[in-house]
Amino acid sequence: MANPESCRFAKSHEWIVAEGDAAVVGLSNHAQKEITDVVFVELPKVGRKLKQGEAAAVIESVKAAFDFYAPVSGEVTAVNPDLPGNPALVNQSPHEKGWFFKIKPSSEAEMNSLMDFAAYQEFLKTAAH
Amino acid sequence: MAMDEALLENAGGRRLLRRFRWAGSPPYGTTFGYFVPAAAAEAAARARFGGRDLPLVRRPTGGGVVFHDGDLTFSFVFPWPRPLTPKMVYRSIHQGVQAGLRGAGVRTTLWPEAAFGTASLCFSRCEPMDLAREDGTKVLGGALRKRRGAGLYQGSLRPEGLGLALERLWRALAEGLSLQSREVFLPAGPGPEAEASARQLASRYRSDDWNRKR
Repeated sequence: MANPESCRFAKSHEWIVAEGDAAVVGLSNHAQKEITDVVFVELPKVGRKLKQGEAAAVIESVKAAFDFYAPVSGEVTAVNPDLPGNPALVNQSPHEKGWFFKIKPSSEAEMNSLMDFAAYQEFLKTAAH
Repeated sequence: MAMDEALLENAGGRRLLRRFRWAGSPPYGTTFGYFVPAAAAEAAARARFGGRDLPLVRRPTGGGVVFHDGDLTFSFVFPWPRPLTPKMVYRSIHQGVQAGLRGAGVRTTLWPEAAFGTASLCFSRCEPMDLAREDGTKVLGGALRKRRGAGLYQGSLRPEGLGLALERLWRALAEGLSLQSREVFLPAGPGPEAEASARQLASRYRSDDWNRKR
């Protein structure tokens, strides 16, 4: 679904890629490796309006819960129906079968403010969290 | 729970250690992890506490069902930088507690690393990095939440078989975590921002929307 090199990335390690009028959102390969074995995922409801940086989903691995943030503002138009029943997809296929939700971005500027793949790779060398 | 989340939100890079006190005589309660179904937690609490009132609250952290009847319940807020994984955090915190207990004359074992399970009852078995008595009985379990570079650890230390009263265990635990963090934890209030935030969050933790969300 999403070649990492065509995605944009938030500093909180979510990826997003345009798909028609909407965009698909997921967790970066780097972040899923740090979080390790995902056992639960709570996704936002379709229709929910999110602001950039707002906690949109929750993930659990090894008795640790993590917030997943909206990389851009917009309305959730779909969620991955396979993820709640098979949360390991986040680890197994972070850029394809493990996508979280689709969002209709409300701001092109927010999309453009995110890092491209090369910038994200540089960010990973220096980021503290 | 509300204060723990408020401290997580307002930690500002600080390390904060606090102890829970449960209502009742003797005090008791039950907490359950963010993803645990409420019905499962209720059933477990009913099996443990019978027909008594069942004080139950969903935690912001992960993990299973924990009975707080005679345990030392505590929480620890700390900076959680990359690239620390949850396993690394558990190991660090539990090694700190282990050192504190050792200083009080109590020997424990850090449970070896292996695959984590999904035990619904926290103390039904040891998970990797839990602390156990030498006979393998679990004495310390914990659960985590990470939010914007800060971590919240919620822990339960069972005193049975350790030979120390709760107050002495609390001092040992605080000393161990202080040494591990190279920081002394002084008694201090949460601060006005965290107090205000906790007041706002308290109603959520009392609500069915939160506790029965699944």
